[in-house]
Amino acid sequence: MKKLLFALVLVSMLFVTDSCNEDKAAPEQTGVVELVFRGSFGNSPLMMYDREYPYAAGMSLRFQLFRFYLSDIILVQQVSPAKKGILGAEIALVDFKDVQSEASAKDGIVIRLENIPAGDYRGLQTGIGISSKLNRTNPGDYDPLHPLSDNYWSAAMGYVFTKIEGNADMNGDGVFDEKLTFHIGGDPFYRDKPFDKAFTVEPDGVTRLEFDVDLRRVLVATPDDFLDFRKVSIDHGGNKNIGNFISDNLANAIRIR
Amino acid sequence: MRQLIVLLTILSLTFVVCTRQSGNSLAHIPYRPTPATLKKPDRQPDMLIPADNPLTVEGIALGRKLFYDPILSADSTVFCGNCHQQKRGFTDGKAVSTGFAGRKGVRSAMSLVNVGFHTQGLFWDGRAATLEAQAVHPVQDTVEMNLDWRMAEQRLQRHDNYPILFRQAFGIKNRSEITQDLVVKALAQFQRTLVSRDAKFDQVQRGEAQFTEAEARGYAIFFDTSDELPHSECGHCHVDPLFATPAFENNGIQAVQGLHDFADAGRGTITGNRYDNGKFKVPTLRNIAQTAPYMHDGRFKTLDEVLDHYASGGHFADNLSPNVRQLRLGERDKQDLIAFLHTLTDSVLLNNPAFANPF
Repeated sequence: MKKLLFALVLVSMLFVTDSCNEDKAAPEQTGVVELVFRGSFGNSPLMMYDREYPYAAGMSLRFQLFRFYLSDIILVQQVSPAKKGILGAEIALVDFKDVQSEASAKDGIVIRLENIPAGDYRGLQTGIGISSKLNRTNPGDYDPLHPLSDNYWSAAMGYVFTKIEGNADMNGDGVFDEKLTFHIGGDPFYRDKPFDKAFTVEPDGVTRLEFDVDLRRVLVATPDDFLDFRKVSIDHGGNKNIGNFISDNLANAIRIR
Repeated sequence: MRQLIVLLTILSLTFVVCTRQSGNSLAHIPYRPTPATLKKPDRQPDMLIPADNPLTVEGIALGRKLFYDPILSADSTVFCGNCHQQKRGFTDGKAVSTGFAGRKGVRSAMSLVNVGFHTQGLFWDGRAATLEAQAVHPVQDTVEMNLDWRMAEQRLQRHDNYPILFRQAFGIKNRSEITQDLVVKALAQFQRTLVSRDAKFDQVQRGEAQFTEAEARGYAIFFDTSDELPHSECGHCHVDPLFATPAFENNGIQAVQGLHDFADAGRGTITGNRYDNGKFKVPTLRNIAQTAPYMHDGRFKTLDEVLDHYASGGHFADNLSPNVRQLRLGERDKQDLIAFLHTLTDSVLLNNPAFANPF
């Protein structure tokens, strides 16, 4: 009886060991998710330098820079009933600086999320800006190619979340000589943003999720509520109203197709 | 002392004789490279160092020697350190540099301080991606050192001492293995060590010193930190701790009718993009008090002139940086800004014997 018990234990242990090996032999299947951000200004593609955009109150605009950060990009799995999230990326920079042609505007800015578990998803959750945790770090914590190696404002001990730079033609003379610079940063300007969109990640596949970012929507909340460059053409975080205006609008200006 | 000199002379002669006796082979000389490390300024990302050119004590020493040796110029009169002088923050104090046979260049010598941290192109126009790629240009440039690289290699291969140093730095087994590739690697290694992190600004950041009232006021104006003081917008492009950015900007110093009218198109000559015409690499402001004259063509002789330019808002062009705008700086504001700029002088770097001419 004792021997039989010993043999059973031995067999069980072998079985358990074998199961463990099976787990190792079958790694989780994963795929890639690409987030494609295409900029626009109203109905026109967003291009730096090369395009003029009609604006409110008879003004026209040109842009040289538009960039913003996304933090904690979480892919929400279709697991009923509770939601479960996969962290796709802790930080990403969506930077339209080099989008200067129709071709590059069409290509958009691609953020590639690797090793995403295969399966069905119900959407994404992300933060617009830099999370409080990451905003306590500084470029010295990163390698030179990391998104957080730049856009740091040491005097404020934090990052600039969003930059919009360009020029305005204020009086219709065709000269864009009014300079516009808006740099927004700081924990109060971080915004959570959910995107409801069912999608599937196939094993070894690439799933593309496409987003539209309307810069006009960032500057114009309603026809009567817009950033009036006749009154203000520069803000570097000192004006909380402007910071909140741009941050709220940016969250609303990003839409998933 | 006399005995020591005699002993050293005998040892040196023996070394040279041994080297020559073995012909072109260098395999008998020990190759034991010593890894070297760098300290970086606070809040600065690590330096990107190519995997095939790690820093070693021997490589840095070789690079330093090459940096100060006119052997790399056609008539053996010009060396890197002519235009990049340590006491001048590795610039030369001239509007445009003078090279081979007194020939004048078209742009000012850029500072090499913290040059190893730059990631998006070197030279005023960014035409070289790495320090290794950068070092190729001045040697063969007819205005600078005017030496064919094949000739440079032959000179070094025939030299009494350099083959030994290349062996110790890179493990070559034969004189003929001294190539352009290894020369620029050594030069790059030395230049990566030119790190500035001990200016008064750094000491204040580390809590080791305090700004004077004028310096503190200048800091606030520079970084736009006070609503009670005028803003200068300097800190957008001259971001600390490098007091530079990887970007190329048109800062409005050239008056033009259109984007194709720049006397020097700068970055645009490299990219072919008209919106890059008139843009130049944002230079570091570290040791700025030692690096006059200013701008890519040295047009401004003093920091006062530089501040007057920026206060004017610059000449308009479609690609003028929006951060260059009219400023409301009073005389005291300017002087305090200049006081702050002087806190970027790093006398430790300017006097570091490790960076000095070894000859």
